[in-house]
Amino acid sequence: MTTKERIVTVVMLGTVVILGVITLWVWSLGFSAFTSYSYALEKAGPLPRPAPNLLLIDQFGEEVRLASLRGHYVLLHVFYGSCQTVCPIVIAQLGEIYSELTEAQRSRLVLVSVTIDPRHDTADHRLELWREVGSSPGWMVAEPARPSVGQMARELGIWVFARTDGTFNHSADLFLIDPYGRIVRVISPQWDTEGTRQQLAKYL
Amino acid sequence: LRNIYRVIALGGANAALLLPQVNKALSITMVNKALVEPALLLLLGYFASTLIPLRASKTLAPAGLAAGTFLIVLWMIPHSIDMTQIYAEANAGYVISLFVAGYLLATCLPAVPGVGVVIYALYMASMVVAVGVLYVFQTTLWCSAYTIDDQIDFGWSLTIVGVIAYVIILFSIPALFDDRRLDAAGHSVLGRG
Repeated sequence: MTTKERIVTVVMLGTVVILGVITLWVWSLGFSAFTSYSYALEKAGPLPRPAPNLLLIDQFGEEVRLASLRGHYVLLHVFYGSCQTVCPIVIAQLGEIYSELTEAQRSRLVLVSVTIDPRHDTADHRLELWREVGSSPGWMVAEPARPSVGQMARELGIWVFARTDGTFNHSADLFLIDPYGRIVRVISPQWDTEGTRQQLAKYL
Repeated sequence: LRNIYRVIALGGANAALLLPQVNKALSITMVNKALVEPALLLLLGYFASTLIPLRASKTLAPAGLAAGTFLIVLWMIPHSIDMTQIYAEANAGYVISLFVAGYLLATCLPAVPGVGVVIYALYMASMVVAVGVLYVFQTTLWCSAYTIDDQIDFGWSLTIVGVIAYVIILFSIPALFDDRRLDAAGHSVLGRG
């Protein structure tokens, strides 16, 4: 191979590698998002960021604006009632953590569980679930009135994928919103109740 | 004329993979979507290279090899696999680019010295095993279109395929060096003396 051929080889190889790295960089949002969950979260923007001004319908059928909860910490997550996998675990985990909070901590926190399947999780179903988790006035089991589930998911940074069998795959993250309406922390429970409790305790 | 029929058959096979019904059937399990379909597309690319052969020069072969490898890596990212399940355009990109990757690898590998081919093949097989093991022991779901059981099955399949490929490559080394008449340094001895 002559010197000229070597130069051409290096230039061509370098060009392909650089183009490849740039494509991967863009596709993975700066090498930070390789799964759809992390992609949705990264795409929503860095923390802290303003929480979307959701209009929710609570378990009693009443409209509640997320912004109206300012002054409290809000721990928001999404679920769907017929879920057999992650949702019951996260809800049980939240119930355990919530029951162990002091009165003062509870007064500073509102738990908001928002369904991504409002067609099936009607107000009656949500009221039933709310009773199952202890009928706490500080825990809201809601459906999104505005915007739609898809838009809400995009604004929060949640991945929601509706499977053809009627089940959903979605992010199990907990979004901690501070009293100023900013998302300050995204907690991935990962079945770790103690870790979630410790992260929450830092703010309450 | 026979070649024209073959080209048409190849084009037809690629077009069939773009049909929603075929995509649905190939997307039932993660093993199908992320292992069987890519292997099929790479094979189609290889067949295309035998029908429409291009002789890659030694100068361009490394770049072609890198491009083919990059295309494969891009579509192995869990987010990319999810996108193929949602957007028809992403699935079209998946089918076309893996086909092109197969063509590029088949065209460029013969132009690379034997030592390079062996290193590349062993490295790819090792990566397949490593990724497979990673999937087997991963307790978090990475591809949202599938279940965690699917993910574990996929991991085992990758591991088995990788190990088999590794063994085959190891056993092929003597034949490869013999066929190419390479010396220990990997240089061609064809035409010498």
